[in-house]
Amino acid sequence: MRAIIGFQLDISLESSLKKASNSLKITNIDTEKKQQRIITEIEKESIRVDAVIIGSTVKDPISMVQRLHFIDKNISVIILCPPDTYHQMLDAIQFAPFLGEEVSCHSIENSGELIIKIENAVANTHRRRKYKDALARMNVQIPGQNSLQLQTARYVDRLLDSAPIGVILIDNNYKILAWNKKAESLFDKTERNALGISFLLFFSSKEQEQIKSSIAPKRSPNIPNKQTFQREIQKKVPQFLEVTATQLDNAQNSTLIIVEDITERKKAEEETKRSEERFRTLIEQSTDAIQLVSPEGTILYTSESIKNVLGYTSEELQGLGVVPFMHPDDLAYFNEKFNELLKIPGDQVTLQYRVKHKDGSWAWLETTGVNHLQTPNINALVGTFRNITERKKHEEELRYQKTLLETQREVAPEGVLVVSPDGKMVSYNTKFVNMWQFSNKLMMKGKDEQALQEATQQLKDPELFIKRVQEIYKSHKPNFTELRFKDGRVFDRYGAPLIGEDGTDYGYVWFFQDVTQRKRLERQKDEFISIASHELKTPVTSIKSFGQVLRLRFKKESNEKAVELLGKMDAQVDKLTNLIGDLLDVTKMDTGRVQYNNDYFDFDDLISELVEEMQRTTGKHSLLQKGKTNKKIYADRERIGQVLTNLISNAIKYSPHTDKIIVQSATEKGKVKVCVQDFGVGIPKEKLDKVFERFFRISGPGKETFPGLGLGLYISSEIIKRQSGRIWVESAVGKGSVFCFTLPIKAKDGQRNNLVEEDIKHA
Amino acid sequence: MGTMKSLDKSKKILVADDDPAIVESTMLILEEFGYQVDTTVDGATIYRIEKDFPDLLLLDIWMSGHDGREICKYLKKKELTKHIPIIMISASSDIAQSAKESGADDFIAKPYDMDFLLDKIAKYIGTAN
Repeated sequence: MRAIIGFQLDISLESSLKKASNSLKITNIDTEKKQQRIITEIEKESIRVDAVIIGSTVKDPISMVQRLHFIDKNISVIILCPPDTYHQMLDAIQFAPFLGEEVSCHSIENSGELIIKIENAVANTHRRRKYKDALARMNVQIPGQNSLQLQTARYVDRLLDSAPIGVILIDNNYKILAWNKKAESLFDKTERNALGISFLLFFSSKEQEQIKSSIAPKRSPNIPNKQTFQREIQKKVPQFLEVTATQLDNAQNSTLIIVEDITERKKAEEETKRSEERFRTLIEQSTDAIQLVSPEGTILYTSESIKNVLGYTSEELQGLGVVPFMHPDDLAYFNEKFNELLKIPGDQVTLQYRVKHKDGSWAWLETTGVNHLQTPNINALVGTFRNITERKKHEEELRYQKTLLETQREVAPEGVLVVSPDGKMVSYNTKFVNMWQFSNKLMMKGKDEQALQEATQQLKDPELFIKRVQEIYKSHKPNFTELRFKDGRVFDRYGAPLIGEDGTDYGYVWFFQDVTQRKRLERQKDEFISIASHELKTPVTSIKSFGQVLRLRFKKESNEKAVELLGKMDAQVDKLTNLIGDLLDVTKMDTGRVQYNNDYFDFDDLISELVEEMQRTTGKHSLLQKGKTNKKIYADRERIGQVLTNLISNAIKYSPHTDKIIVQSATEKGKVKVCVQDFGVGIPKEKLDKVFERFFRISGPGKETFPGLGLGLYISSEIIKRQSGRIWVESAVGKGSVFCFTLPIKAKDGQRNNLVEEDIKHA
Repeated sequence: MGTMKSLDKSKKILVADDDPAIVESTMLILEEFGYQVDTTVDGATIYRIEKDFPDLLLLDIWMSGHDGREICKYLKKKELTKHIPIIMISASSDIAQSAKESGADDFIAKPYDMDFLLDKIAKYIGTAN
């Protein structure tokens, strides 16, 4: 039978409670006096009470409970209250100092559940009494009659329950003797259900072994033994428990077990570890390194990334001085900066210097040093390093390029001007300024417009100049122009766009060359040659005429010998005439000042005429004319004749041991073609492409040379080119050569009268 | 060749060149073939011809101080002289075009072959007689 005391219980409630449970012996105390007496009885332990129900009419239920609990018989108390004051009462219970015993509140409306509540209350009372008994058996001071002792015990009890760790006491058979509130939540088991069962039931078999071993009798008592378990609870989140078992040195051989939920701690640790890892990786992989240095210059710490910067490991540098690594030339500078940094805490300097790389080379470093001597936890100079060797190399290369460019620009015999894409003067040399007679003032920034104006005013045709420059800027192409000045000067101007590899437009570069002097000399030379050849031809003309008159007279006298000699003389005079002619022609061709008198003429007639004429000059060779074109072509008859004469006389000259020369003509694709073939010495293959060059001469098989200036084929090829034709040669050494050329039958537009005026006045 | 040389009948050619040797040698050739020859080494004298005009003028294109083409233009403009055939002579063969432009009837490059010269003359005035 459970003894239940009721204070001022409603009669009907009392009877219904009595009816509902046979195991409960309910004694209703109705007056305050009797109630006081009962409390005293309980205090004396003359009666044993399992639970107290305080009726709703009791004046001050809270102080009643406090009195009951002060005597601490671990009595569970239920306060009944009307529905309208139920929540108020709950709050009051919550805030009243009850020292941990079970005090609950019950709305009298729910009288049906009251029985269950009472039964729970009774069970709780018994559980607490059992726990106290266990403590007593373990020699734990049991609160006795002494109210101070009692109070202390209550506080301990309360403390254990409010502890954030599970506090469990087990006996040597692992049976649970004590189980605090935190243990309840950790293992999801109420104290009532946990007491008396084996603690091992909460663990897997593997974990059980661990627990057993940590509580093994051989272990020294009172020394905590830690075990950590990972448990999955119903939330499916891994839960980490740290179980610390301490064998107590008492008669019962009991073990105190502290269980701590370290899931959060683990998580935090994990997170810290991860972030540390991240940070370390970041530092180690960085291309920058961090170093802590003492004021004396000793390396205190270096980040692992120093390997990326200088090749060393951080351990290698630990404790060394920084000075031995310095480049001797940078040491003074470094020391100066270092000392400067030492002076003011928090100060910062950035410096560039060379240090020895592990591979032995000198590496350029850029360091930012910060004085952290006064900063707690650091108390050192902190330097961040970056290897800038590559950058330095590029800078050096850039400096070199710049110097090279500047020197080239200044040393160049030409005036150089670089303009930006919008036409502003970006760079120029002294020569340029002098050539254009610009004042220093004009070369100052922002005077571009004025400079351009001053430049154009000097020219003969300023408008044409502006027009051309605009066209050039648009076309983005290299170009060449001759600039003629009002004062007679002549500049050659070369221009090219500045286009980056990626297509960026950087503007334009101009070169100016004063060719006034050269032009004058060229003109003088041309004039000289013109006059010289004219002067040479004059006596030749009279020599030829006198010779012919003489020949005529000797012929009348039938002096055959004299006639023959004078004939030979005449041929030599013709050779001399041709040589003079060639000299003059070459001069004119070099300056592109040959005049072509184009007209329609019968091509076949010209060939026949020349073959006949050339036949007369050779007694040995026979010239064979083959083929016909039946075409009139539009060209300079005399010049084309000159080419044919040249080819035929070459054929004669270079075939001294054979006697046949074939002159073959034909038409093909709107062109006339003529080939002169000989069977003479031929031309070596490697020299074939040189035969049309100036001064080229072929030597025979025995190194014998042939007379001539080496100008004939050059002049011929120039003539054919100027007449829009093509000339070429096929040859084999010892077998002879074939020289061919083609000419268009129809005149091209604009080709009719390409007169060059200058030729006329020097003729 | 003519068998009967008559001064009155034979044709007269004026040879104008500033080089005396050319003048002399050309004269020898022409006289050899029966032509009557007048010569001058001074271009200015040609401008002054008022009578006894030659049948043909062999004119050097560049006589010191006088441009043969100017003389040619002058003569071809003048009513009394414009009928006279003018053959221009030059050391440069490139002159043909400008010779024609100044009104010359023909052009011969120096040095010239005797037969070539005679053919050209004959083309305009025929043989000496």
